[in-house]
Amino acid sequence: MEKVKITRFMPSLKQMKDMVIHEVTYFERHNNSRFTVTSRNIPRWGTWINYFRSVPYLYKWSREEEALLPKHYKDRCIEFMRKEQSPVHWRPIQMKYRFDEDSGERIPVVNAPIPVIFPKECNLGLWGGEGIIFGYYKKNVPKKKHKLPTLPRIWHPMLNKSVLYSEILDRWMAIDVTPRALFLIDEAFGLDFYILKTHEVDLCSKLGMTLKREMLLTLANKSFYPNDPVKKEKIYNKYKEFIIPAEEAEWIGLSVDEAVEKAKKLNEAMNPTKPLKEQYLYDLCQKFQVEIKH
Amino acid sequence: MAVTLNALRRCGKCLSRSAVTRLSKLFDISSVSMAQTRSYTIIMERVFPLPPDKDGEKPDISQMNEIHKILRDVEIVQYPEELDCLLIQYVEGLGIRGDIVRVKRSLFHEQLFPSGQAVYASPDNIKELEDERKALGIDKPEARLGVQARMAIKELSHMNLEIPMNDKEEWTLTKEHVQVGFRIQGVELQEECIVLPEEEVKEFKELIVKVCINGLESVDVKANIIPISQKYVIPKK
Repeated sequence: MEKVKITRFMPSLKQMKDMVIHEVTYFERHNNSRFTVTSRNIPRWGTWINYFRSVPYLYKWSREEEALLPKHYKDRCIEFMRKEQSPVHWRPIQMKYRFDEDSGERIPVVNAPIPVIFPKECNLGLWGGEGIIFGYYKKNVPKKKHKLPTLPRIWHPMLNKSVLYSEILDRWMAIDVTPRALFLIDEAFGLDFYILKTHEVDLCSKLGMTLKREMLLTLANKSFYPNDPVKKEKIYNKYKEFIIPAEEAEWIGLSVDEAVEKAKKLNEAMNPTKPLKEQYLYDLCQKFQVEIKH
Repeated sequence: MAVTLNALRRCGKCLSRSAVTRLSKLFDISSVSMAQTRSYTIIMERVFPLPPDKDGEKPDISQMNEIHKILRDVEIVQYPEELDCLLIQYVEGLGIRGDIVRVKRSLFHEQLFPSGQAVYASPDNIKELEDERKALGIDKPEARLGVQARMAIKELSHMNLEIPMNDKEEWTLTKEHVQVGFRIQGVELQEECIVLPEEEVKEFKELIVKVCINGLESVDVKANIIPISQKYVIPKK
């Protein structure tokens, strides 16, 4: 008999349901199944700093790059990698020990955060520290409890586009936000205070960091409201406490690739490379004691 | 450590049920079939609490199994629907400049704040408006016209007042006649706040009556004097 190659195979709806419910048995019996069901490429574990804390982006640099980068930038990166996020999806237990139900044994409590996945889309909006949770779920029906299967399930945050206004930049923006982020913005009395007050760890998005950099740069350079001196003073007094020098503010929120490019450009501007022919000519002239005339 | 062993054994079953290589496939399917949205943050708890290290601290990666994946939702944090905000302009049905009102969050974010009618009720903003009020010379915020007065002004300015008078006898228009005309149309007011035109009126014609509200502002109301027989026609048998 001829061998028939399956070029394209679409599973039927019943097969699809079988795969979800009896996931292990299906794939064990169909080892050579060709199709893969992938609609979106979400990283499975997120990007992890340690096993308990996941982050939307990472800072990594080699030893050669370490000499180039300025110190305040590196300190901020290290602080971001080491600091723990404030609890969003879990509640820390305040008791030191717990007693087991079966044996009555005293066991110390481990306060570890629940692992949360931050996808790429997290960097395009303000999620307020929320993320995607991956777990198992059983329906709570008291009559059928022992019959129901445990199913894999995903809890993901609701995103709405809402119009936000920043006072320093004088700009209206349509940003994807979660209800938690909106609530935090309302509590801080405005977008500017929310972004300037919260730490990079709790902000948890690249868009927030770019906004932070722009705001701090405009504050440092005093380039807001050039035609209105009355409002200029008012806003300068309002956000006086957040001002840092402009040389530091340029570096905030840059990824490592961008930061290295910037550092190289600065380095070239400080120490320009001389062409070798000029240097040889200079040596030769010194050797024969001739004055150089340009 | 019988307890931890027990937990690990149960966990072993989970491990066999959900092998790591196949999770990505499951992930994508379940996200499509079980799509759900929510307007609150969910708070989760582990079914089997984490076993501690030898020193009683966070365990190693080697000790971490699939335990952390089995979760149970404990609590739901719903955010309040309402919000305090400070009005900058007069908004119909809500309040006037300088009022602190409680509105729905969506109304503030979609209408009041983008259109420049309201701002956040932060202590800085409140202090600014209070200073402005004191500079104008108003001691109390209640000395100004409120929302109800503003709405009354708006209704009165659109009103067509009809004053019925006798067409068989001679008369001169007084404040009582105007008050009756208002009462027929459903507006009750005192005689003090009505201001008639200076010339005496003795004919059927159109005129303008002024109404003072709270002794602060006055409104022009269009009035028309008509014979009473025209207004109340007696049906013939």
